[in-house]
Amino acid sequence: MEPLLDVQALNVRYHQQGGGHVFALRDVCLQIGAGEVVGVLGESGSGKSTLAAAMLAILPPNATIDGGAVVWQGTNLLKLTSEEIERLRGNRVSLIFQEPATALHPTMRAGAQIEEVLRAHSNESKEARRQKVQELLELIFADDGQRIGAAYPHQLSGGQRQRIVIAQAIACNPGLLIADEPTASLDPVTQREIIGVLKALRQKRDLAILFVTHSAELLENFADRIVVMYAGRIIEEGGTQEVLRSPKHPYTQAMLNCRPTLERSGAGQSDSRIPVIPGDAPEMSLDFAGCAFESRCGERMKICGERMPQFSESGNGGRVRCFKFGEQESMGR
Amino acid sequence: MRYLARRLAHALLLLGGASVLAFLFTALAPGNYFDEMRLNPQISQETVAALKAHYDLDKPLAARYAVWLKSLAHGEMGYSFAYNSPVAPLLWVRVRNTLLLTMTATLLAWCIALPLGVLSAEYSGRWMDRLVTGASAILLVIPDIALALGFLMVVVRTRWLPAGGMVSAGAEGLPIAAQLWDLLRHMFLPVAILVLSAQPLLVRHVRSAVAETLGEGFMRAAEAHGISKKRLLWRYALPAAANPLISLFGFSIGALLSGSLLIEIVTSWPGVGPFLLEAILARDLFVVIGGVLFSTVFLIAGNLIADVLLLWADPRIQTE
Amino acid sequence: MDALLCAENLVKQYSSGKIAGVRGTVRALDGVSLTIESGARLAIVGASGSGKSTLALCLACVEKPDSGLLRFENRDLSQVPSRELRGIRPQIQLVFQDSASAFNPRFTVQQVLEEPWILQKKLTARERRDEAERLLLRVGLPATFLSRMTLEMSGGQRQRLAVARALALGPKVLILDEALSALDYSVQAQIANLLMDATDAAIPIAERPAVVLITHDFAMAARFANEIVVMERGRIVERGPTKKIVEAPEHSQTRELLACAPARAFGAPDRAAF
Repeated sequence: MEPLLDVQALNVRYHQQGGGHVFALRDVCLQIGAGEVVGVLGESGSGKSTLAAAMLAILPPNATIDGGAVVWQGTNLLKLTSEEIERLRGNRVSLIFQEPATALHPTMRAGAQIEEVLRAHSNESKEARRQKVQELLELIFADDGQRIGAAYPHQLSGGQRQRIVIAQAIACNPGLLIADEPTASLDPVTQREIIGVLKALRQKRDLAILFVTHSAELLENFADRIVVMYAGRIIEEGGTQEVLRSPKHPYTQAMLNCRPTLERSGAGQSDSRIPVIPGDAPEMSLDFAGCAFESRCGERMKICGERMPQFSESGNGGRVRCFKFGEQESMGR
Repeated sequence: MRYLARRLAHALLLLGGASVLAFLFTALAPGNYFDEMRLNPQISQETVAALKAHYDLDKPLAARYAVWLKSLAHGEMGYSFAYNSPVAPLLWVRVRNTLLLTMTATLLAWCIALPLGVLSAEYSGRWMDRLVTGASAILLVIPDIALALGFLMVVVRTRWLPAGGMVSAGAEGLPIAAQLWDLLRHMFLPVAILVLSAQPLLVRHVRSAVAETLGEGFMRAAEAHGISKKRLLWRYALPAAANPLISLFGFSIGALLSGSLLIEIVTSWPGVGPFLLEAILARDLFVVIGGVLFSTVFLIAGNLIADVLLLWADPRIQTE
Repeated sequence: MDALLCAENLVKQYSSGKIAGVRGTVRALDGVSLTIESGARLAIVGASGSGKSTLALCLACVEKPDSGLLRFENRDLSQVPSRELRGIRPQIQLVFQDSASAFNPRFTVQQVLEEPWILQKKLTARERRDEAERLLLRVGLPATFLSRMTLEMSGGQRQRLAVARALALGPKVLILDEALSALDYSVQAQIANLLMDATDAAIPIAERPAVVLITHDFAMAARFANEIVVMERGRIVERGPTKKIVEAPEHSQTRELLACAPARAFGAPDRAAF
């Protein structure tokens, strides 16, 4: 089946102020099918936010795309003019960001901001747009919709604001929603609510979602597939349960191991420390000859420092970039 | 509502204070209107003394102030020695002319500064921005009076426009449209000078306020929703940058008024400017006070308008 | 362990703007009483709006409560003269979620760390530099960072720097208000570990700060703290030793927050009771 979005060998670089570059994305290949939920799991500096922004060509001015393509239904989005891509954004593919506090215009009412998105992409009359806004508000807020639509962003809580942002994103019925850490600044109860909203939308509207996060538990009962990123590359990919329960890449294993859980509550006496990944996140301005995780990996081998591993099959349709699993030629997918 | 009432009360207090100060400074300045007469040998000292007594100039300051307040209550604002008439009607005619000039200049100045500033911010660093910034710098350096005299010189040489005044001789007989056109031709010079002298300040502030807003999170979020660049600039960035600009607007009303007094004198526009100058030189006490009070009212009104506009434009502001 | 910082019946309200024409007041703290003992590891857990941040601000003497008592080492802080208060405040340090805004963007890391000593007029320049280096190493940052600008650091590194600065004057109480939220797991773990190091039982009590971790992440709270306090809408609804709270929660809010916290590692088999 034709994927909805096909990212092919994407490379993105940022220019730094004093000269020099930071390599944010290296050779990233990713496919999203219709109605599929794909989780992008990674820590800060892994390039996950750059990936989300690059998909809609919304990178900051100091970014350069060094080859690669983002193909949406046969068109390479990276080659479109700004008018053409404006027509696509918010309409066929939507993108929502992390900070609900700053994602909304401070002096425009919430409902009006949803209407703006409709206005940008359709020629309907004002009444038709207003009607649609009401429907969206009811869909996302149940009974409180009217009141919240008339409120200003500073009168709403973080969770309510993020729901307005989601309403804006789905107003024109896009096929794909890219969400970059949409719940990171919210408390866990609200986080669950927002995931619930997204799940319901996915069902009702057959919406594909690319969910970028550093919190693995959000993806647990939500994503179909997980893609793990480290130092600008995808290093593991597979079904959600596969990746979370039996992660293959040493980084994924180490990262998931650092997560505190209730079951491991120290309760003071044990004074045992939480596992960490030794060392620091890699300097992204350097070009690595070998695997970027090598210096922090507990299972490193000599070959790891010499060259970058290519993908190998890891069972159950997953793939992993690690010499532990041998290598196969041309993992073209 | 209570907020407005409080602000008005403050304004009245301010006006009262300004009137006392104006009275004090003018009355304490050496000399009075009748000094010229005194020096004139043909007029006897008794006549001068009698005139002074008639106008209360020999009474203590406080008493004179009280008399003036009473006259204010009657809508007269004191008495002009030079014109031999209550101050209020004299002032009112000139106030109308000044307001015509200042209001037009304010409106025009902002109508030009807003697009220039917004586009400079959007295309910051490119040729348009550099042109505007460069022109602003040059205008900033040139003093208003030099600008005015320069323009005047051009106008006198080329005869494109009348070199001063408000209406041409014999204009009253013409049809309304022709009268209006005549007025506009006379207004062009002083308004142009005022607008140009205000541009650097306004454009600079509009540019920096909008430039700061362009980097905000909601701009990026709106861009991700596919809002067009044009709409992003005018419907999103400018309103969000409005707060400091609204305050500046209130301030600009007062600033343009001060500037206009000088320009009126240079271009012989019959507004408060020349009237005030004449009165200062002649020590026409109550006219001076009247003029000062008018400026104060204007300044306060400008700031009050800005406050009200701010309340209306930004729902985040509370009137605690 | 004696009571170090004692709050009794703190009340604080803010007026909120008009929503639909009705002006409201918010009772951020509605009669909160809390005792923090020397060297304790306490966690305050709650959802947004529960008042935990307001409590942090009041405990650190940054905000004054509308009513209620705050005692530090048995002295009523509202009765203490302001000059003495200036000496007490540095002993209660506060680290926020967004440290980037807490640092002067023009300062290098070294300047950030040395600032409290310069203000308190202790130590020579040489001593300051050595101490700064020692602090950096204590929080797991390399000494080479001394010359870096704070803006060049990652979020996790900045938080570690904020903890280092908070520890610079050897405070008796260290309060972290959501300082670990939104950080990567391994970075959170590093900072939690260094806090555990700082409050290790082996350290004599005189040098061991009490650490109060304010968070909405119950799992982290349970991992770090000996005692947990649960807040809802400005009140403390449950408190007790970690084990008891996690295994036998009584209040509905506690149960709700627990339900949202990861119970076990992915794929670990279910156990009857943990």
